[in-house]
Amino acid sequence: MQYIKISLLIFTGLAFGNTKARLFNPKFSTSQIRAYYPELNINYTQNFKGELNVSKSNKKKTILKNSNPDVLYIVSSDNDKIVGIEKIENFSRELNFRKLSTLYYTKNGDSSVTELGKGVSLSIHLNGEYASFYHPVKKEIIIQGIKDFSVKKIKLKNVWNPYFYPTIIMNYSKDVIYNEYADDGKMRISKFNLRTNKKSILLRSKSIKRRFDFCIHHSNEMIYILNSSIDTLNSLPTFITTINGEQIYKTDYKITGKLICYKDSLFFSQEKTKITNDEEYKYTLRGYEFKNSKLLQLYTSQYQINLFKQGNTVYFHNNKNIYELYKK
Amino acid sequence: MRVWLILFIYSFVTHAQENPGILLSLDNLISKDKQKIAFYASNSNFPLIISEKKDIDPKKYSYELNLDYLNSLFFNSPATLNNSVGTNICTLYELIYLNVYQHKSFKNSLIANQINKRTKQAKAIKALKKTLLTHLINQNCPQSKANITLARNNNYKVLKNYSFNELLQSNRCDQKVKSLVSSQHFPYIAYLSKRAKNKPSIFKNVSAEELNGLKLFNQYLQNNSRICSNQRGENLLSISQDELTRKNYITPLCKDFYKTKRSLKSNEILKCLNAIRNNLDFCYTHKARYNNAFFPLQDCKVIGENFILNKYKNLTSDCPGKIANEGIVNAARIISTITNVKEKDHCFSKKIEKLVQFSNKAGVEDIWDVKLCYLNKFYNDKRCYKTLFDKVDGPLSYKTIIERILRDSKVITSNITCMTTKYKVLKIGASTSGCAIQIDPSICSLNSCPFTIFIDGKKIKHNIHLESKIHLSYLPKTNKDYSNSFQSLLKSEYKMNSSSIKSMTQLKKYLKIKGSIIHGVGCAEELLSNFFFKKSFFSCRPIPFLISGVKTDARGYNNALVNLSIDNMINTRELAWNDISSSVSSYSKHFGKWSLYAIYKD
Repeated sequence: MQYIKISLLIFTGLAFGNTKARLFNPKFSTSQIRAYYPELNINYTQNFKGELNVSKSNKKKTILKNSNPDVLYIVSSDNDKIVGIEKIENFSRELNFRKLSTLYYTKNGDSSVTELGKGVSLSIHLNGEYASFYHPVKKEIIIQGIKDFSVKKIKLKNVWNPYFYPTIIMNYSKDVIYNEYADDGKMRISKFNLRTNKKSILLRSKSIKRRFDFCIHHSNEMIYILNSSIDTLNSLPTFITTINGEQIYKTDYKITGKLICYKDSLFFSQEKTKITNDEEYKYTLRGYEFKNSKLLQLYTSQYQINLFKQGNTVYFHNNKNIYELYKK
Repeated sequence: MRVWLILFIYSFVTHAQENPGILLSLDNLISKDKQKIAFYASNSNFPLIISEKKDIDPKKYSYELNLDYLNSLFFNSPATLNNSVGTNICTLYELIYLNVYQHKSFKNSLIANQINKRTKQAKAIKALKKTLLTHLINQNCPQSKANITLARNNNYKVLKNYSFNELLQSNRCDQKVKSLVSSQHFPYIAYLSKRAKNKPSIFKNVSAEELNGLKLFNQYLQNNSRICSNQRGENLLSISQDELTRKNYITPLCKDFYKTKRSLKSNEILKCLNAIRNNLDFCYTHKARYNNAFFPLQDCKVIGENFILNKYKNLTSDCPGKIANEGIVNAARIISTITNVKEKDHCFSKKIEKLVQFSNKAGVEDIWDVKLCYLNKFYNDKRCYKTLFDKVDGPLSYKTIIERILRDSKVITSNITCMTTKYKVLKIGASTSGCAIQIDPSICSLNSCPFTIFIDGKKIKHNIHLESKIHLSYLPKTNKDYSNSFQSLLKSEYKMNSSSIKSMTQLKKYLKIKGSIIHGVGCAEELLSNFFFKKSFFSCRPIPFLISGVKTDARGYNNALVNLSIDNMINTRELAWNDISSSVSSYSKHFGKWSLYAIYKD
């Protein structure tokens, strides 16, 4: 039924959508940039020595000094108040997928950092109240209170995939929502409440050949779920639904990468696995606007479109370049 | 019959998918449908009128299914199932009775019209599903009783008339599936197929092949997925014609399928291939449990086809997950390809041995600095022994080194060897004599591999622990580490040249050179974008990989065959050149140099 709705949206969305993609072109080198908050006049860069610098109102300070050519990633809270820093030591010398990074957080723009611990896949939740990360050797999700220094560990059983990193989100009811493998190798979405310490399963995959990704819109605390086929032989449908099971989108194409919740929209990249003519594009970036139920086609490419959200903007990597989405 | 009207509306909806102009009013229709169903579903607003046979009054009323209920049922059900009803209302009654059709708001009830025979006035009522449908079937569809009785008695004999295994492999599979859908037993078969998916354990006397056929049929009804073997393109038989593939891929696969180590006869292989073809998950999970490699794998057809095209012949399930360093995994695979190591599915034992020999010969002894250490209480010092960290009983295996330490510590005498068991297999306190070492394979890797020791069934305390350091610079980043990098050692030890590869044309050229190896490092986010995601401006998890061939797709476009160092070597993937070049380019941004090379002898 919703499939029909979406078919309508495809037709109308292209004509009326005002979200566009443009090449991200800040004043400084994109190879040095680590985070960018133009509205706060703050940016983070890493120089060739490996030092991480923050520039606030054009005043530059060094946050982390490095003697090794380590690699640094920066993530931030939805309100941009707190940033998390993931430092990968010996990046190109030690090719170990499960190597632990050193994790820090700081107030956005400050030059002093606090160490959070060792792990991977750092995220900051609930406007900087919590940080989450994953310990791939112990297979533990660690939730650390930034204000109250609380630490909660959630053990995953996972006997299937040593290279798996869970997607972790939180809501204001203090639920930690994450994906994991069940004993039979099928993916499932689980919930752990920090107040009650109770764990429950929200959704189970019906097949090994499906994956879940998800994101949350904090305006209404609604969780959106991508249930995508990863079958290597057959084209099976992919769905985007709410956690309550309401279908938002159905397609026979695969959806690659992340599902991004952002303001009043969802963004995702769709892949055509079988292209029949040379003029067809393999990847299409789509946006779904809730307010007016529009489905937009924002960008097409023969190269992958890898979406991420930072600060007040959604960006994507595509063929050696970074693009940003903006409202016209 | 009202079913005509329903089918008309359904065909209108199907048509509307292609015609956006009429969809606005349909959108309204859908939201009204939701409101109506919410009203009907509420027991306080709309109570149950018919729950028992006595509540039905056939003299005063006639009954039929309510249009709003049917509309909603059709809207929320898969198209293949809707199409299967055709114009036969009896099939519809049976499918609802047998829960093949199930409205999410009405599990045990339904909405019907109660029509006053005298005034012809119809009133919507809620009725217990089975009570009213039994009445409607008795009145209108006497032939439908057979299917209901079969379901009630859990009678699976009908399945013998429909050999799914044969049907799905038949050249006329398409027509046969259509005739099955229009056959008398279709509602019952659809019911069984749903049960096969939800409760396979109840099919005790049904073979695994037939059960998988039923599951496929359920997928076909629910998702319109391809059901026939020729459509699914899973004909493993064609792959098995290649002698090397049959010997090195198909036969070990079938041994694992039957869980046997004995050699298999031709007819057993044939039977196995047919069975695998209908087993939905076997290939995706094969040898992946206990964190051996990246999961899930791919379809057997894909793995088998890529096996034939792969230019390297050391394709085994070699458990890269146990070696917590993907540089070492790729390096060991390269050395074993060059030195032509023939190895069965042993987690890296010989490959690591060869790599260590290579590094010793090249004068870089500490590439593999993996040791089991313990505190010697007598001398009060820490002592360590090097281990190759394999599970085979070699002189440097994990188990052999633990035994050596136990002998040093006088825990066991020189004539005792230990048995190894998987974690929790051995019961603590059992009357097991001698020495046993328990290892949990799902958490054992170079990062950490804890174990428990039992002597005569009693757990003993120990301070033996793993210390592992890998000193391998895979590709040279600066002139300073140029001479010690793996790439440089390869060139000097085996007198090989190297050239960077930046296009598909160059890739094809170097793949053709006999004995050439194509290797590189790229970011996982581009190589496996369904599983790894970029989270910021600068985001890369490096994976070393080998490129082992080129495969042409249906359009005549060339894709590369890739062996990722996180996959079992046997699981060759097909990746677009654009994705490979993006991943290498992305890694090169961090690394500072291009990272895809061919190494070859002139």
